[in-house]
Amino acid sequence: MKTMKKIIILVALTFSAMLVRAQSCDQATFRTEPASFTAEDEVKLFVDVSSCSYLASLDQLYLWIFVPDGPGPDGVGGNGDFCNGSNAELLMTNEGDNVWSYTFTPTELFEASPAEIGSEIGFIPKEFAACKGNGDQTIDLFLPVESLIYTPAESRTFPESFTNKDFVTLYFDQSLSLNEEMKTLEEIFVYAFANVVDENGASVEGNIEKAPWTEVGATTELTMINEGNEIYSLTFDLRTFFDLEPGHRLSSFSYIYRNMEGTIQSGTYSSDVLNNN
Amino acid sequence: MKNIILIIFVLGLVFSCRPEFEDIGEPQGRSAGLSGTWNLVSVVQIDEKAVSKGYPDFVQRIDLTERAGFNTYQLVLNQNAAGNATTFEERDTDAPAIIGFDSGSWTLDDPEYPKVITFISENGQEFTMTVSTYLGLSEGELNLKFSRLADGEPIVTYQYKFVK
Repeated sequence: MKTMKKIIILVALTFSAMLVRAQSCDQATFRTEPASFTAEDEVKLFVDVSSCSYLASLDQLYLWIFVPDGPGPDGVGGNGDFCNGSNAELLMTNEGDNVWSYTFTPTELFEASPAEIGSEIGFIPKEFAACKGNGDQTIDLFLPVESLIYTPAESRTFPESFTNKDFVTLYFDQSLSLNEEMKTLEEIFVYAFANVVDENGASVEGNIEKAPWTEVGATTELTMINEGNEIYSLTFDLRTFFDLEPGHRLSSFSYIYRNMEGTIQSGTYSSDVLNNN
Repeated sequence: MKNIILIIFVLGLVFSCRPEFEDIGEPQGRSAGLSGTWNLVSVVQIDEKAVSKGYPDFVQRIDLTERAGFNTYQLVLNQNAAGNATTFEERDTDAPAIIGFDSGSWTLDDPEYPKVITFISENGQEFTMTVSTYLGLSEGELNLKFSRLADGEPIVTYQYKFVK
């Protein structure tokens, strides 16, 4: 008799779990614009609840959104309370014909970095106060998030953003050189010049060269290091690299990769210099 | 019913187990360990934007020690007999400056559990660095870091490792 009782309890528990799941609509369909997006892109999510009879009868629909094992939507103050009331900031827009939308940028909505957001965002379109078990929510739905892919290029700086007090390293990837002749070089030099502003922030006419074009090949500080695998680098301290007049500040600097003689060269690159710190 | 209670009890025991943590040591007397002549052995520059984007490691950080000529850098931190921070000196070497002025005074945000070191020049200029970890300090290793901000967000971080 005792065994029978246990079996009944177990069956009842299993059945109730299945019932709860069944009462979350699994017929909603969704899409995004753009179709694929990264954590830094603004995306518009469209959900069609035509096949979810209860949700389709509602005047308002709220989005419950989360990063699996990660942050909630801290950028709008969180999701709210699932059963007692969603955050009003997550009210979806009625697009008509049972289609609802919500526009967001993942890094801003979650106040998290792309690395923290990862590859997936979960969401549940729902009634303001759900949990009634009458189909007032969908099952968990998931949006794939594209990785931010690092794309190698002929030239890059490290770091990507910097101030006039930082060390900067220029990298030249010879294998990706846009000038075929640059691919044959065994020594690579950099011609660099600074664009400067005065103490009032006004542009100063003329460029401040690190060394004149004709002297680049004989200037040690402009000789790149061969790091192997066709990668060349040049590191410098922006505090001292260019010889600036007192009160003048760097606003940007430009650079050309070239051979010793200056007869083979890349295009001209330019990098902004931040001055707020 | 007895069986169910037994199962719940066993499950309770299993889930109440906690992993052991390594002993990180007593958090006392750390400011005393900061004084002395420190030789810089490693400078790592970190691109915080690349970290944020989850880019490959070689795009996130580079070792500046050799390439920027930091090998000979020395930092002297002095304390008085009472153990209070007094003066500091960036030794006159060919290495690039870190603090931005080569001597002055230094203070700690908390003498017992210092986290931030502030260097102050004679004309009142300030530069702050954070103690990134106390692990190794008792063995003569000092780890400091400095983050450059733009619009309130770190864009570049420098990690400095010193030994006595």
